[in-house]
This record gives sequence, C-alpha cells and structure tokens, in this order.
Amino acid sequence: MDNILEVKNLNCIFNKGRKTQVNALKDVSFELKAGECLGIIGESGSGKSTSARIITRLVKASDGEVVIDGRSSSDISNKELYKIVQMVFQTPVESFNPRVKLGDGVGESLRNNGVSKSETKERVEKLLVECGLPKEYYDKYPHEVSGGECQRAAIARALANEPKILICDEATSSLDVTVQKEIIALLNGIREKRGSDISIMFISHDIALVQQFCDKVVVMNKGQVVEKGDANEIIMNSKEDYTKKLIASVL
Amino acid sequence: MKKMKINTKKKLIFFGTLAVLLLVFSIFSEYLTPYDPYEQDLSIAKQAPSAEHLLGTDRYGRDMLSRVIIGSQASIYSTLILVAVITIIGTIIGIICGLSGKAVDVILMRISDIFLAFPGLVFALAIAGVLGGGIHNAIIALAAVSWPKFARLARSQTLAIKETAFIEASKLSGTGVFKMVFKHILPNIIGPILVTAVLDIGTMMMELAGLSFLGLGAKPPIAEWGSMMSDARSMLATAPWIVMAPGIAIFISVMIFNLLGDTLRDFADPKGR
Repeated sequence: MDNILEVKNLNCIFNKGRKTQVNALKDVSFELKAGECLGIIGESGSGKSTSARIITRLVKASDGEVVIDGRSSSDISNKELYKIVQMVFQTPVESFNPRVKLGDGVGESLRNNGVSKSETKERVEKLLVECGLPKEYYDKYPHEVSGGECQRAAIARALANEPKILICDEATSSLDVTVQKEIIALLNGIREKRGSDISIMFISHDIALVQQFCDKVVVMNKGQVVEKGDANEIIMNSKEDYTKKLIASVL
Repeated sequence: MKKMKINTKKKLIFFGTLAVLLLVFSIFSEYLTPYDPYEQDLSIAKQAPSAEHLLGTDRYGRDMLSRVIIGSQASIYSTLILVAVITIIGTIIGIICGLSGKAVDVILMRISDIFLAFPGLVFALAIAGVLGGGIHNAIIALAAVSWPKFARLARSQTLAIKETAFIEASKLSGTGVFKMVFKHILPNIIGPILVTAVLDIGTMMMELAGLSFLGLGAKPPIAEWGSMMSDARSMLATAPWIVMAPGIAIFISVMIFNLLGDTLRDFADPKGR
C-alpha cells in the first residue's frame, strides 16, 4: 500500500508574547497509508491538533514537509488540497454558521467548485442520507438539531468532495457515549463502503476508542512523536514510559 | 420559545412601522404644515400654545408646529445619512483590519486611535470650521470623527468570529474572501453594529444640533430641531414651549429608533427568533 499522506520533520513554533516561544511541534514525522486509519493520541497540548491544522493549512509550519498523494503539499493549490483533505471538527454545532441552513453548509464546497444549485441540493441530500440523517435536514438550522446530528452533517460536509484523507480532530470528544458509538459506526460504514479510497486520521484522547477503531497509532507528547506503530501492539504492550503512563491514566 | 418568537416579530413590525411613518411624515412634511414655517409675524411673537397655534409661536411669531414638522426633514435625514455613512465606512475598515495581517491592521487602528484621542465634537468643530458652514459640511465633519467607533466594533467582532470553527470549516470548503465576508462574517457581526448604529442616531442628532447651534450646521432660517432648541435656550423660563416642541420631537424620534434598534437585535439573533 502507498502512503497517501507523509508528514516529514514538521516543526511549528508559536510566538507567545515578544520573547517566549512555544515549540508546538518538534520534528514530527508520521505516515498514513491509503485505506488505513491512523489514530493520534496524547494529552492536551501535545501537538495532535496542530499537526492536523498544518496539514489542512489552517496553521503554517515553521519547517518540514507534508507530502500528499506523492506530491509536496507546497505544490498543491488550496482549491486542490481541500478536494483531497477534509476535516471534521471537535465542536459540531460551532462548525456550522448559525445563520446558514445545514444543507447549504454541507454543499458549500460543491457550490464553490461550480456545481449547479439543483445538483448540489440533490447530492447534499444523498450525503445526508448516507450519514444517517433524513434529507429534510437540508433546511434545518444548526441550533435546531442535536450535537450528534450536527456531527453527522459535518461528516457529510467533509465527504462532499470525495476526499482521500479525512481528518477527525477530536470528532467524538464533545458527544456523549452512545452518540460517540453511532459516529464511530458511521465512520466504519464509510470506510467499508469506500475501502482504500479513504484514509482517516483520527485524533483523540480516548485510547479505548482509538484501539477499537484504528489500525495504526501515533503517540505524541510535548510536540514530539513518542511512539508509533500497530494500534493493538502499542496500546497493549507499549515500550515507552510515556505511553504506559498515558494508558494507565485512562484504563 | 414560540411566544417570544411572535412577540419579537410583532414588536419589530410595530417599531418598524413607526420609524417608516416618521420617515414618510418627514418626506411629506412640506404638505403637512398648517402655516408657512418661515413666515414671520412679530405681532404674535412668543405666544403660548393655543387652539390656533397648537405648539405656540417663536420669537419671530413663526408657528412652532409648522417649524417642528418641517424641521423633521433636516434633522432626521441628515442624521440618517450621517449614521449610514459612518456605519458603512467603519464596518468596512473594521473588517479589513480584522481579516488582514498585522501591518494594515496596525496602521488603520493607530489612525482610528488618533481620532479617538480627541474629544469628538471639538475635532468635528475644527473640521467643520475649515470646511465652512452648511449641513453637508457638518455631516462630513461628524463622519470624519465618528467612524472609529464602528471600525473598532467591527474589528473586534471580526477577530472573534475569524477563529470560530465554522469559518475554518468554510475555508476548508474552498470559500473565497469575498464570499466569506458576505456570507459568513457580515451576517454574524451585523447585529451589534446595527444596534449601535440605531442607538447612535440620537447622539448624532444632538451633535449635528450642536454644530448647527455654533453656526456650523444648518443655517437659519432653515428649521432644524437641534438649532431650534439651541436658539430658544435663553427663553426657557419665559417661553418654554419654544424649547419643548423640538425637544419632544427629538425625544420621540430617538425613542422610536432606540426601541427599533433593540428589537432588531433580538430579531437578528437566530436563537431568539
């Protein structure tokens, strides 16, 4: 299997005030194979989200390279990049404009890519149904639906352009346990249906969930990769002290 | 929830209708005056309100009711134009500052700081003094000193909304800057700006009146509520109706616009709709 995403020696430095700098990422490298699901775990501030935000260009890296589908990310235009990489956010309701109907939010990327209004509507309704929502939700506003339903819509939005890489940045963290399960089931369904056409980068601090859902796992701490490898292998008998501590604190 | 929905809508319709009535009233004010508002008759000067002159007469014997009615044109229109100008200019500058990088933001905000550092009316006086009298110049002068408030407001709102997940999500949907501003940013920041604008109508009415009083705004004999009030200040003890009539007119207009502003804010919030 080829690597769909390669992150090479990523560094990210945030200026905090005039003199203090925060090294959010230090030489972070990992790779995601096509069709695979990669879990990224670590405590808050370990650089999980920053890595995701660099890949999606919401944050600029200070140094390092991101290779997407064999091409350096710097050679890919924004428009093209967002057809390949999409992200599901931690806060489902806040990730939709409160004044825009869910359907219009989901279909925004289609409209931006020149798909006609009627075709967008048709495709969005199909996506909503695929993500387990009735198509009438097209006309609902974000505050009229629950967090879980909003997250389903967010997944529908991320899938609108048939991306090859789906980044779930703590996508289940703000949901309660039963809804979490439903979302995971939805993601599993999407993986089954699309096979190697979709690869998922699953950022979470829920280790049990990552073990259950992901093939590979990357453990991060203080902006560095501590350990990476097979999910079961690392979670069941890890070699690094930090990973052991992290797992012991949850299980 | 549903009860509130109806109430806000009803209130909006009510105050909106009042505001529109006020505007229509001022458009057709020329045809509504019972007497010629500019005709002087010293034999009936400073008469108290009576059946013939409902609001009395001023020191030149002009009918106060007619003057208040015709005065609505200068007062309401110039104020609305002024508020519209500062709201639009301020909001555009504020959004540019909020979205653009450091340099543009710093330069524009320091300029607005310079304007904010002076007492507004005094600075406006200086500008109006240079430009000369007349209601147009008064509007330009007040606009020049009043936009920073809206720029600051729009900037802080833009900065707050720029970091939200839905803006990032729409970036990931490949949305360009213009669409982003008009579809995602403006609709979400316009509420407080609009409310501030409508609430500012009263202040601006008074500031325009202040300039008129100093001979830098509406020039006599043009009837303008503010200048009419200032004009009659010395007669407050002897002929209070000359001050009261335009005063009450300002009070009613300001109230209508303030309540309209409040209702608009409630309505603009989708959670309260």
